[in-house]
Amino acid sequence: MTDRRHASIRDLVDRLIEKTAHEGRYPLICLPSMPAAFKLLDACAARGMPVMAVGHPALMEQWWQSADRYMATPLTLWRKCRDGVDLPAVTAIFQDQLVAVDNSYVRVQALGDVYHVSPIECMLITRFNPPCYIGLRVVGNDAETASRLELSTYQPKLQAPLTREDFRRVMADVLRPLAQMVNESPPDWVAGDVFTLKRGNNFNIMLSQQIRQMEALWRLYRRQHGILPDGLPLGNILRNAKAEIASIAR
Amino acid sequence: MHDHVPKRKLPLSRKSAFHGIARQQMRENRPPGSVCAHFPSYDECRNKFRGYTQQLQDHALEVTGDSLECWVDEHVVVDRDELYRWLRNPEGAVFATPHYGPFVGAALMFAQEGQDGRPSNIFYDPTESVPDNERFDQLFGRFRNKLNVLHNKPRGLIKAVRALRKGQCISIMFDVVQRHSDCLFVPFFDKLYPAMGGAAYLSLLARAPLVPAYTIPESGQRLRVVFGEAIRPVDYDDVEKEQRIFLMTCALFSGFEAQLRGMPWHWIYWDNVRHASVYDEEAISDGASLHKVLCRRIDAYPQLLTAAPSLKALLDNA
Repeated sequence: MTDRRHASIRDLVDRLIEKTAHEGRYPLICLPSMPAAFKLLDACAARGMPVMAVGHPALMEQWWQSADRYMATPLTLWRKCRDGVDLPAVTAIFQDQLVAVDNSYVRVQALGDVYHVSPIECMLITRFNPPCYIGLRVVGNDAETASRLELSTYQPKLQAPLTREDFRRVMADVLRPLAQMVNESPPDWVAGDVFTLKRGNNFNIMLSQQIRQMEALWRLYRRQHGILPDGLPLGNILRNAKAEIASIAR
Repeated sequence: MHDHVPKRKLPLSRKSAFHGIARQQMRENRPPGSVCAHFPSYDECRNKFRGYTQQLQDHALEVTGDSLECWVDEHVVVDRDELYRWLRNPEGAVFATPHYGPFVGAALMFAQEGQDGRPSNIFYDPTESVPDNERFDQLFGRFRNKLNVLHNKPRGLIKAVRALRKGQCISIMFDVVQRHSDCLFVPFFDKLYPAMGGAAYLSLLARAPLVPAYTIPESGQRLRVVFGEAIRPVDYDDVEKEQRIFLMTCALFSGFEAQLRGMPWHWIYWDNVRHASVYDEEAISDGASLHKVLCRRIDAYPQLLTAAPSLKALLDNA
């Protein structure tokens, strides 16, 4: 069921506090990376609620001043809370920031495309069955106004063991508002560029581009100096790196 | 709620915004500030010349086999001596033409110079890759006896090389990348700009000079074709093939940059420059700087190490 009304950050925090008190458990919130979401978490912390946020630490440092107080990677968060009975804090997941090539990321067919996602939401929901919300961006009153946030109650009804179909369904629900935002291109969606890397082969292409740019710098160095840096077979290293990236089977 | 959300294809250059990125505002498609600063009336010039270009392009798309000669005589201005110098070059020539001004008019000039037994050749992406190119297929198909259309596929590439080796000429567009997975990156307006090495590759294979050609609209429904400094494969014989392709492509874009700095309003892909990665010449000032910059890139993209463990050797030598 969607709770659709325009609410201020204070209203949203009031609802979260009320819900937490009623349920006796901290909620899981899937959020887009934007100032409204960061403000929401800051406001929760200011009202005495413990907060954890899962995203990409290096990116978050640039986008959110308070990030270092709450940030965790999917792995560190899971290790921190897996032995507990409930989530130990208001837990925000910024799936739009989570991109990687390691085995913790999963390919999922959703919304007519293939996405590479961290399964952290499903893991937490299956493990703790917390109250869940999906953050939805709503447009401000005019073009100059920052995006506002609404929290839509989310009841995925998952249970262990998680089936492939359930996983696909939940990830589609989490990704849907983000995929919609790609079309809207809100200027304050700071992870918009990063999110597109999750789709299809975009991340591999990005890695390949990085290696090629490094190769370009090496070739430009050769053009200018005519020699390679002493003792370092840069050409071989970069050639091998290109081949390794090209061979990644995802 | 619908299960399928309509996809919007973002230019891949936006996808490299993984570190230190500020979200872009509305696209302006303007040259960098350092260029515009020299042209206080840039907008006025752009509007005027874009108007000329659009009229010429629209007109050019309607030319038929019967009206080709007349259209070229009436609308195209070119230094004939220089044109024939390249058209009659025994090794052929690769004309590198960007999407600059009314470029279709230059293609018509090129078609007009084709003859039975020695056609001109034009090389571009097929409609499967670029659906908009269908209109060019329809246009150029009208001049079959004078102009061969070669599509950017393995077979088209082979035909292109064969044509050059027979001393024929090819026109190829070089300024927009369709396949980001295998492009080069070359310096262009202080950025590392994605570029295809295809023009240089063809030039090398056939030992044919690479001749930049730019199309400039003029008043009176005319266009002028001007040639840049030719890039000759023989000048790059002292390095291996990959470095040659890279250096020739750098030279091509360096010439293009100079052209644009003089007349920036004739090009429409400034957005691609805006989104490209910054290039700081200091990075290649010495070996230590280069090493430092490469290591910094790996630090910024830690997934690179996971995907390409060979890069660890760079960090180990830091």
